[in-house]
Amino acid sequence: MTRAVAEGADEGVPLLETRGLDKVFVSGWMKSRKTVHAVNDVGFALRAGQSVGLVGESGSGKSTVARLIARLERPTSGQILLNGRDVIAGEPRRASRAYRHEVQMIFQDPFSSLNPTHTVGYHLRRSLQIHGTAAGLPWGAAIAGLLHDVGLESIPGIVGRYPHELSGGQRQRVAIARTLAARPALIVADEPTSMLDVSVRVGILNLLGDLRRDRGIGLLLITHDLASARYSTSHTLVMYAGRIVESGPSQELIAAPRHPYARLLVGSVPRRAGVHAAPDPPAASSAASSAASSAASSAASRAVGSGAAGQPGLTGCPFAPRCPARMPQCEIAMPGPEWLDAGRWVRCHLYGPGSSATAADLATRNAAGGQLESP
Amino acid sequence: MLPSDAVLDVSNLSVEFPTARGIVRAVTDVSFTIGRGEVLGLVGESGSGKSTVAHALVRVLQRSARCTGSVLFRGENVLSFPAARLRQYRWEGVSLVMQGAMNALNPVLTIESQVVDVIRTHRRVSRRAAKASVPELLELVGIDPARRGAYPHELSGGMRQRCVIAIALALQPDLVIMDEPTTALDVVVQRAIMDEIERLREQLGFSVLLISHDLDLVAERASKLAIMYAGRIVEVGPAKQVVASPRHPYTAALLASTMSVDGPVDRVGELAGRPPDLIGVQAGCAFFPRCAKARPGHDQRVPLLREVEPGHQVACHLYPEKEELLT
Repeated sequence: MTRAVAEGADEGVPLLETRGLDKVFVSGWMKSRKTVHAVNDVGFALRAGQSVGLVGESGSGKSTVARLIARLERPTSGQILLNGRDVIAGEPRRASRAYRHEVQMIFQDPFSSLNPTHTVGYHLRRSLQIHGTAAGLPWGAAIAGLLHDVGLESIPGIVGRYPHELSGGQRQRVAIARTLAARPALIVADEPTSMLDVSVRVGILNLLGDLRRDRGIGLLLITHDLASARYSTSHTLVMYAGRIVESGPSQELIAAPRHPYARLLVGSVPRRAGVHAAPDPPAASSAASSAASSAASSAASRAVGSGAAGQPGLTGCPFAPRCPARMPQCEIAMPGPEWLDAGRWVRCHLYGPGSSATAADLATRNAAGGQLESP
Repeated sequence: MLPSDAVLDVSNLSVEFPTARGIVRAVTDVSFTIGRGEVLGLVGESGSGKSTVAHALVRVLQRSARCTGSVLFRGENVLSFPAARLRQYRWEGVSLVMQGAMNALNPVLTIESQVVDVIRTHRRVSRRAAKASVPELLELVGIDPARRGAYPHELSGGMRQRCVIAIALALQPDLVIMDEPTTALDVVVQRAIMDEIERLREQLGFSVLLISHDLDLVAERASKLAIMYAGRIVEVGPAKQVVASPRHPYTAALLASTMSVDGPVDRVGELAGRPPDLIGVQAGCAFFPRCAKARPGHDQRVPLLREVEPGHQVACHLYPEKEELLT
């Protein structure tokens, strides 16, 4: 509840930590059996009151990470630690109610995450009932409190309205109010704004930011929108084909991405500055962003049939087939994490051998809190 | 621009839907022209009427809709076309890539047969001749012609969107209307598709009406921008000018509420409030309740578009009419 838990509190155990998180999906049978390595060796930490962005294209595995952390899926291997406690080892089959209490998820589509046959009041009351958080208040007062928290209190008759009577932004606010009823320590938001108008997005992100600051709720924001990640998270992880390929403070990472894929992502975003410049690709002054935009246009033609889904047995870098800076070793070995500056690392052969640092090293450095310093 | 240069000349287009609650005025008094090879961007929030404009231009509105005004295509009014002429005009004159079209491909037909269907619906050619044109079309949009026998589920979202664009270009239309062509796609694929459209437009010379809620995306591609609010165009002008110096408070608010990957990261102000209910008659400026610069009296009369600089028009009471300027 206090500022003390806000960003920058590096000491102590992180709120959430993942170590070597792996998820392999198996489909088909006998000869048609296929496996997809959706999440591969994902490790990061998130502190109370901190926001971390997980960005990548569709199919990169970012939503699977969200579902693993919300325990909607079981990881194939790896650890999820909540306040330092290994929750997979403790509750291997299903997450306990206590865990669901602390970790809440917001889904992309507020049109389908709310039940069309129930009112706003019913949705919130159910959540209060399940989590037992009404604290002796009458239902009406508890529900009004939740609506106030998400800025919906001024809508007349909101409690009795059905989801179809609300705008997309209002629906997403109801979904957030429902998660607040559980009094969560961590909110995992999976593309919470991608179905909304650009003009409404910022309102939802401001609301999540306020909750994070005022209540010390941790926020894991899954998004493909780099502008959202830059605006509302302090640390960003870039995911490609199931792996984190770059990690760093959001502003620094997006201002000067290092991994060729991160450069491609940043270079692909429509830019307002672009309209002042020549008709061709957005003009860029710094070398980094001109590399980014040239990578964007050259890789644009290769974007079809991307290698987003992690194929097992692939030894080299999964981005190699699309990479404008491909080298012979890229097809042979997966680059290890290479530390650049404080809090920044990248998995790319361009930045050194990388083989010295292993996943175990990373986990140690994560645990030491070195990775997620505030900018 | 000379009138002969215009591919499509829309004037005073209004669309009304009678509903149980009253008449919904989805589009009111919309006028614009699209020149040959030009890209006109139409931007607005959900419910601003931008998709209704697109549907009216190719006359795919529901039957109960009342559509008035004129849509001139090569000097003929589309709104009074008989069925046969309309069928020819659609796809050969103007094609439409609908919102979410990549999910509207028939899942049980191959892409080849869906392209053939479109060609044979709008032009009298043999199945064999239609089939023969498929590989070239797919190649045009960057799909390996060997994949023409693929079903939609075998293709990624970006490839399905390319197919839909190939279908839109099948009969070499003069104008392609694209309603949110890249909304469901991620940024890398979005840029690839938009680059592809730009390349094809330069190669084939068609015009584009690009509709989206994403002002930055449209501003990067369009030469001219029209901003819609509550069924009316409230600002129209050269894209660079509108973005660099927006005149209408709504355009300014839209620009200010958009997050970017460069520039300062201060708290971005959200555009509070909702667009008005379009049922009934609007008395004054529709943006009045949300406008930061509203003054008493602005809710009395609907502001009309007036020129503030060459080619740049704004419908806002803050900009006095010409007569007022003179006095």
